[in-house]
Amino acid sequence: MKNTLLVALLTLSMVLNVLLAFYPFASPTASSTRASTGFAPGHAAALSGVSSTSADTILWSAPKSPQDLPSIVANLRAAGFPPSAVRAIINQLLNERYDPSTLTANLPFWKRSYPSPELVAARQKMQDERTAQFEALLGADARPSAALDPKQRKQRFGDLPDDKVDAISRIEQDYSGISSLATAEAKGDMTLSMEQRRVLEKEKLADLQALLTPDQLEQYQMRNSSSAHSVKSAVSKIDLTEVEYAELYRAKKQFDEQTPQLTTFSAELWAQRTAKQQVLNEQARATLGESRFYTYLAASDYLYAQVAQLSKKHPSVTPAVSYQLYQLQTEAQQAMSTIGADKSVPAGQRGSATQAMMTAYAGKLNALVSPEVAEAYKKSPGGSMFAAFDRSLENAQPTGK
Amino acid sequence: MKNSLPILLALSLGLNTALALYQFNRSSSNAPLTAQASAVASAKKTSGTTKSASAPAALEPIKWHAPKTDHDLQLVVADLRAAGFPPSALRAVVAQTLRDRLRENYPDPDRPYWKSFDWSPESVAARQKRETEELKQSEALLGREALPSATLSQADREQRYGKLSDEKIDALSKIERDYNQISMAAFATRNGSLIALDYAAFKKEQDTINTAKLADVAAIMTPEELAQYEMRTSDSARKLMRSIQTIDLNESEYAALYQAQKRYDDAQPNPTDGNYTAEMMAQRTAAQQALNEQARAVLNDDRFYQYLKLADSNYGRVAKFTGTYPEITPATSYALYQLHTEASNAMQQLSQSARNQTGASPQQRMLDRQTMAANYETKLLTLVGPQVAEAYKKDPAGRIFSSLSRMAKPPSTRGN
Repeated sequence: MKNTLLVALLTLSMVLNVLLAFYPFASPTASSTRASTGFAPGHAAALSGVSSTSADTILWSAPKSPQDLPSIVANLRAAGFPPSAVRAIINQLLNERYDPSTLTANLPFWKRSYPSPELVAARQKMQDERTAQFEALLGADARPSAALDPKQRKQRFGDLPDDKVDAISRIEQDYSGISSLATAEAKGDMTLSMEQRRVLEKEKLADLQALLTPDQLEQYQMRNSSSAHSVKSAVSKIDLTEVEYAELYRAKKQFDEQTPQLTTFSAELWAQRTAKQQVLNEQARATLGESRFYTYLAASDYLYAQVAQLSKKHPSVTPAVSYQLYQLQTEAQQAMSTIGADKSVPAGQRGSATQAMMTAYAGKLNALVSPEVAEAYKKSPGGSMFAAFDRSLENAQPTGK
Repeated sequence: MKNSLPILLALSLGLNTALALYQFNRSSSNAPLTAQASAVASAKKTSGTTKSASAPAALEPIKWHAPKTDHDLQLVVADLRAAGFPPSALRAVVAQTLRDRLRENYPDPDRPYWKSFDWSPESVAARQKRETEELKQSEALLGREALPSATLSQADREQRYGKLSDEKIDALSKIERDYNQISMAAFATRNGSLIALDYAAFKKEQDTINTAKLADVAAIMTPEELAQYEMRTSDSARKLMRSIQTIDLNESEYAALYQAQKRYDDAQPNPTDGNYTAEMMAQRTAAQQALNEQARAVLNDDRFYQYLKLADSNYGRVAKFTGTYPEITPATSYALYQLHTEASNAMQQLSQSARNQTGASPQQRMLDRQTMAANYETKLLTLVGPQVAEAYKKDPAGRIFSSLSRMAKPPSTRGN
């Protein structure tokens, strides 16, 4: 009996020994929070020159040269650091090694924000080297597709496979670098800068076309192009289906392609642009129907948004009336521009033709809104043209009247 | 065997005790996080170096386990410190981990890609809450190592803050962050669109915010520090830095130009609806002329013309045109630009008096316009000669002289 008790106690004690000896591994939940979640200490068995202390634990060893970085990556991975943490650490180390601010550090503070093309080129070279080293160190974990948050990826790239996401990211990065260089080379010349940007956009598009199927390219552009950004901003306050969005996007894309951004517009170019804007608006109205259309327009067309401000003080100016006022305004601008450009009108008749046009549009305005609203509109930025019509017509009246 | 049982039991119980003590000690050494970090820090001090590899005895090798709670994250940070990770690597891991966790705790709403542009007040508030939470946790975990003064590179710090102390840099960063959030929230409440914006209300609100921000900034700095900070970061400074990108200048020249630019910006008319009236335009043109002359006094050589190309877009357009005529010097370009401005002002004034129906009769005004137009056409010819004058009238930059030419002719001959 006594022996049986001793054997039982001994067995129990030995089981306890085993449990205590393997405590962190055998009983993660029974020990402490750290065993399951923090860092579990291992046994230091330092390898020469690197920071690994055993197969799966790590001590930090500051990298003294680029040659130390691969062992840091290997040791972090061996110690169980997840790819996102390894990426973050390596990114930080590379940021310190390839710090672009060091290139301009010897310049006075007022010269650093607009570095010379040579400095921008040097910064780009540094960035390229950094990217190459990042990829060499992390391999597949360095791929943009590996680092993207799934929701953001879906928003930006839809269902594109990893290799295409990576290739697009590379194209974007390349053109971003080239664009920075072009901006620096333009030395503040906005016209030149815009011309260069247009050329680069074309080249970038060609690269994307070579990479993606036509359907993939459209999906990508519907998510990321400047036309897409404009439409997404304009529809932020309305609900719409993907089909409706696609229609709006295609119309906007066509408009943007036909009316490139310029630093200055002649009256003729401005008239052409507003005519195309009218076409675009009508396409949007057909897609969205009346109610959503006005909300969309207030967020997409500055001139309409200005006119629509009138409704704050004049409730009779409904969105539909604002739209009619806006249309009247753009029509009058086009009519002015047409008369100015029409060389066939004899000089002596141009004045009377202009007066007739002004009289007609002044009448249209009075027919559209009440006298009170018409006066308020003429004092607003959009309606100042109608105030000018009034003055011109008054000045043209024979004296003594 | 019978006799050995008590001995074996005693040995086993002894081993039980030893293992229990060992585990207890290990657990204790890990639990008081700050104490452990202090121990590592003091070990580093003792060894006289901050390099972790040189003090291996004080360091604790680690193995990663994904943190799931705030407490886990505290343990992670303590362990990374104990293993000798430098603050920058620590910050990188913490930032990544916090972002991942906060994304889980405050997930972005599922929305189709065409609805990704969301500036609703609710969404902006949610984003700001997440940012604030990340910052708060980061500071709680890393202490001073999370503060901006600790994270800036030396070059960036010098560029933005000059010689300001850590405390002031951190206080300034907080003010900048707070007011940025206030501005964003105000923007979101006002439609979140620059197009559909009630400009007057938005401008008033932004002015109030900017005034309050400046007062807060001024409260933590000496006047000299504030002046230095503004010379580095204000809107006036940013405009000036763009204008001087193609020229070299010393610090006193920069300071003089900055003061002139600031005076110009401060005196700008403030249109309530975002659109300049004719009076405001005239006021602005006069102020621009005064600024240009101040800049010419500072940059009393060809640098002035280089500066002016970017500082004044009207001169920039004129200079671009004259750039194709090697015989036209920068000084003549500047004279042409001044003539252009003068003619624009004169036309504006005539239009204004017509608008207000003050002064002369309409017939007299027409005669005045013809005289004025002829006068400016003569000045243009005298300045650049007939060939360049004709080319200038056809260039978009010189359109006003084209109008003046038409105006100078009697109505019956216009358009021919």
